[in-house]
Amino acid sequence: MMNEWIINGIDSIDDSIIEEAISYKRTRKPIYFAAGAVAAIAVISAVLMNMPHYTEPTITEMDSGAAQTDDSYSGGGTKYGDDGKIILSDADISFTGTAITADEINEIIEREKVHIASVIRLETLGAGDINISLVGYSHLQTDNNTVSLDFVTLPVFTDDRLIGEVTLFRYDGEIHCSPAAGGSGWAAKTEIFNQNPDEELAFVYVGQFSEYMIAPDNTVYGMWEGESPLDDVPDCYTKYATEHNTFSFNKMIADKNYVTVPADVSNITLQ
Amino acid sequence: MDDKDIVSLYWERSETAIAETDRKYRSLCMRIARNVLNDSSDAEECTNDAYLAVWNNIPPKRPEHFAAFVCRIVKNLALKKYEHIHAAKRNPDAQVSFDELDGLADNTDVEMLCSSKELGEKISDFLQNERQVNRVVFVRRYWFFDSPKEIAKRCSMTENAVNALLMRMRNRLKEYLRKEGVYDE
Repeated sequence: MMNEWIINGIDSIDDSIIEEAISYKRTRKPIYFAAGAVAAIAVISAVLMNMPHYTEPTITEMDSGAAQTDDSYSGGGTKYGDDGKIILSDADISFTGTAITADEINEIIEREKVHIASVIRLETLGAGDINISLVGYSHLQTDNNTVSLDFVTLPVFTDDRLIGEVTLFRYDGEIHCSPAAGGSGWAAKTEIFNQNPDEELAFVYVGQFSEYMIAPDNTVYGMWEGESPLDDVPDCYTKYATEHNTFSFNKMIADKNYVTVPADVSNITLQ
Repeated sequence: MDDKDIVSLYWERSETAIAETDRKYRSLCMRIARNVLNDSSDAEECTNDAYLAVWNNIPPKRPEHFAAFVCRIVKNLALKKYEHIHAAKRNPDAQVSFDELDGLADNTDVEMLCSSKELGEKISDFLQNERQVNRVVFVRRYWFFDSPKEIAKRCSMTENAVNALLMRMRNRLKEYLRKEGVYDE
């Protein structure tokens, strides 16, 4: 009798909770396809080469940490243990560069939004209205535990998915922007945001090119198949999360911290 | 196809609606029915009956949560069908999930103070205050009757972690329901 009462009670729970359980699939380590990423870089590079005001500098020339060769960025390069695993830094977290302010983001996105949307639309055929976040995140480089504040990543999304990012970076006294789209990684990242819509995810780099996102419950979402070097770090969210490398998708939406470029607005004509 | 579009097809009385429902939700429906009935042919019959029931209910209904709407129908039909089938055929995993719920309250000297619907609202409130992954694990176990092994795979957890999480959630739910005055022991 009691059993039946409880079972019937559970049977009557909200439809929204049931639907959540239908669609939920926790992806601990989604695989970002390297080939897709390389193709995206190639296409975007080709586009950038034909746009004078985007030609220099490129992010790869900058001290972004992950976007450089392992032994060239400030901090001494990635170190590997005898077992081939990346050695994570034990240093206290430090910050380099100058944070890009909200006013600076607003100014540059207002100026470049149509161009950014147009470039991204080239890689996302069929995308309608494009939204560019006006808040973003830097990355903590775990090889030396530094956050380069000269870089900030702004998500770009449609009404139902993430489709790209814009990286703003300081160089030679000016702020430049570099949009990125294409490849299959955005679907995986969309899934991560969907699984953690309200969470302040922490964004970190480990070694060269490997981006990881850490949820407050210490779940690590990685870019590559296999074990994450962060799996063995106890309470890694507390260790790596700072105000500069964390981001909540829903908070950005709730605060209306984004601009929309309508589908019919573009400054690039395909021939 | 989007769920809203499928619902529109039902309203247009287009038979494509059933085909689209089948294409999108057959595996889910089969899983729910099989979890209860522990038999593929019974589950298939139940799933097909569910499509007919959906057809007969839309219109006049226009469910906001179409997937949940379909799942509820499949589950109810499966449970009804189960009543007509020998208990021994029931899926042991589902039976165990029922047994686990026994711990929520003693079977004796319990005064039930609310209807199942009200209890469902209380449980929904409880679940909404849980972390998403906890909520999903609980619902997959006690609504869909998935086995801990299946849940572990879906949620990237170990089976032991799923069982431990469920035990803690049952204890929290029990305490919550007691505080809410849902029942007195």
